[in-house]
Amino acid sequence: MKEKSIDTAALALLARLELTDAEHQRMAREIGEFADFAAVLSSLDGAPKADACEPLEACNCRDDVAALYAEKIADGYVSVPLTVGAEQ
Amino acid sequence: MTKYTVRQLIALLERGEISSEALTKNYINAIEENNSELCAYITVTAEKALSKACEVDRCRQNGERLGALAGVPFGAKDNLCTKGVRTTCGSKMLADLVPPYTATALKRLDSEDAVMLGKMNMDEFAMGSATDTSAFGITKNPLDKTRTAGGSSGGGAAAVAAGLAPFALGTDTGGSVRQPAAFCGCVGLKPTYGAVSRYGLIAFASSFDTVGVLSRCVDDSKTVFEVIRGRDVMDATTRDASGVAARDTQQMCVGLCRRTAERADPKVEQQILRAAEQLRSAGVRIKEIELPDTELSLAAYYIISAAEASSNLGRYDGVRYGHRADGARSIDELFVKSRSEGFGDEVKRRIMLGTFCLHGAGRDDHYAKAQLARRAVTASLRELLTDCDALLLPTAPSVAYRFDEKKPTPLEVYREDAFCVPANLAGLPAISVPYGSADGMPVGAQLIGRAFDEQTLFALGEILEK
Repeated sequence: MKEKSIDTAALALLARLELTDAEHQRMAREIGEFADFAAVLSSLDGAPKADACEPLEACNCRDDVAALYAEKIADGYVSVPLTVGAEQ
Repeated sequence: MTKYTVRQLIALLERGEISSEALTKNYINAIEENNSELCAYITVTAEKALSKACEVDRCRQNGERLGALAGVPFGAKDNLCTKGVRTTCGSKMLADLVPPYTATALKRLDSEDAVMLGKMNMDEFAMGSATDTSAFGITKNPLDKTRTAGGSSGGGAAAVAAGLAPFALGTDTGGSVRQPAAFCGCVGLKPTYGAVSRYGLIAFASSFDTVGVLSRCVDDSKTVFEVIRGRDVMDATTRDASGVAARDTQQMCVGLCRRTAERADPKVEQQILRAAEQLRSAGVRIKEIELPDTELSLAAYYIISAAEASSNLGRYDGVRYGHRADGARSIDELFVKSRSEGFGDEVKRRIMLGTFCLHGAGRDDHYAKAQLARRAVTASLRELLTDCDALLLPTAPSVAYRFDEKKPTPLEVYREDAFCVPANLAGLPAISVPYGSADGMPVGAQLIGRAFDEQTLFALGEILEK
């Protein structure tokens, strides 16, 4: 991926980071290299779908998970894992 | 005394041959003598440690019931929250954070009367493989101070190897316990995701983060794991699975991953083949297998972990806790200035990568594809582990590198994690056991097991230790 096609200014705005010109250039180069490296994923068959995350039944979560997370998010200390990798 | 195993120390303490106070003083003296050079600890809690040690001694003298690790000192990675003790996460952002609560894993050690010596150095927010992104200095390898200790739990590995702690708690998101253990010649255990509570662990990538153990031998890992594992009401992903009971190793089959030779230093690969031979001569059946595509694993791991990191680290805005910039004229400016001043280069890079992978076309092109890859790698590993009880491969492609070698690019550093990240993607347990050496430095042999079957890893690891 070309460095020029990486809009680091937009990304920095979203990430709430202030970068110097040199940092913008370095980030554009590194993100470009990373995107090339990640292109290996395009070999995967099947269109990506919104439910690509592990389905809930495959997670090692208990039935009371929603209530527990609601309580923990409220106290501001714990974040919710996006996926859970362990098998049953 | 500071080179004894946990089991040996427990025996000495129980027989009254040494007091916990004297033992703790020994370690504190060793830390005072060596830490300025090794940079293994960020904070030493000498006063609290001695107070706890004296309390344990008093209970022992009174014949009171004591815990399984009574009087044994240890260190904790500085991303595990400790009530009343500064927890920096290796970052300027949290340089002054004193948490109001203690991580569950540390509470469990405390309730078994272990004595915490202090908080250990680490890569900033656990993002790194050499403990060189810490805001508190670079940890050196005690076996050769011109080399890296690895990371991100480099402080714990260096401390255990140098006799500055008999064991340490670390965290493993993409190899951060196993790789430094391999570089410093220690045992590093990454338990199954969900086996040990993450409550009180400062989040990096929540679907990978695992609390693990660094120790001098496999038996010590097992002893500590038995204390910290189990369901915790504060972490809904934990389970109380006691795992498979230890079996006769002579009925076991280990899969030897052969394609690792493409990535690993031949001298490292040679030690892994020797390890396989040692298992074979102990009666274990060895079967050659193909590891899932390491490029796919690496891409999936770095996309998902960066995405989760960019989300998790969104909370550091200078308002609720952490570094707050001076002179901001608006709330938005406060957020931006605080984050820009508080985070180091590697953390900013991961946040930017994660933002790139989650927004616009990046979500479908990268994040969703990475989740598919994760599922594919997980399925491949599960299939391999239906025939095999464990998989054998190197922990790292090379031994610890010298600081004066050419500084690798971020991508080159990421590629060094190729053998560690598959276990994190699948949430499987893995252990790194020192096996032989190359260029005068230890090599780590890694065993990956079935979910919640740490016992098999301990049994096989003990064969390699012999």
